[in-house]
Amino acid sequence: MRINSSIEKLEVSNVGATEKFFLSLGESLSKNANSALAHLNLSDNPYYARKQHCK
Amino acid sequence: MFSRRIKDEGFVNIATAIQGFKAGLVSINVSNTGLGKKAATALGNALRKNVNYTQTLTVLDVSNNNLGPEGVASLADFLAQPNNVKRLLLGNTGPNVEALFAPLARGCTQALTHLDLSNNKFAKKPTVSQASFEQFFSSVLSLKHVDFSGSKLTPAYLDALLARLVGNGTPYHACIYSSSHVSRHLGCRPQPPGQ
Repeated sequence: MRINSSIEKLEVSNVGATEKFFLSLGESLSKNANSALAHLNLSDNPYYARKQHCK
Repeated sequence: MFSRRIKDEGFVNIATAIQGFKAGLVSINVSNTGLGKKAATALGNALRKNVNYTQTLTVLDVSNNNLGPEGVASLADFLAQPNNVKRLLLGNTGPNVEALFAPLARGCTQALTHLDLSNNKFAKKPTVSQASFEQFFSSVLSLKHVDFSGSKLTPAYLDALLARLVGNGTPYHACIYSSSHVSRHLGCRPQPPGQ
């Protein structure tokens, strides 16, 4: 995935994010080390939700 | 029910990215993300290795995750450095939370205004951590809100907390509701919040 470097707040809360999503997000964020991002919210994506999402 | 834990690799990747942010993030909220000890350790290492985080990070929410002693220790290494964290949310992060007070007393006395340690277990017997607990509450300058609700706060810790809350002179919002030790210790029935 591609993240716009001008984004200041990224909120991925309570979406049933999967492990694969987090891996992909981590790679994308790594490519944005000089971006404007200041606030990162990944809350409420517990492992059981990820497992359910994978079914 | 759900016996198999998803591995921490996904979040370890994110922690690596967090470390790489040149300017450092202002707030990080990973509450209730199934964060395990490996991921929590990676997060703590990331915050410690990027020195900008001691200045930029003002909100850290890792609540509702089982961080394990290793994860708590790793976050403690970051928090022990003088930092600018104002809101620190560590509710329901497992046992061994009292080990945090020594690092907090070293690094979090200037800026911290909100500390959530709700739903954590404290050691039943007094430990060396109690001295750190007392030291922390006697040295925090800006703390306005402390939350120990649902924690197994022992009478020894409670005595120390109340003494500091009264003696410090700083206006606090202290939430210690629903601790059975508290109600027994104070000889009263705690009121639900808002009453």
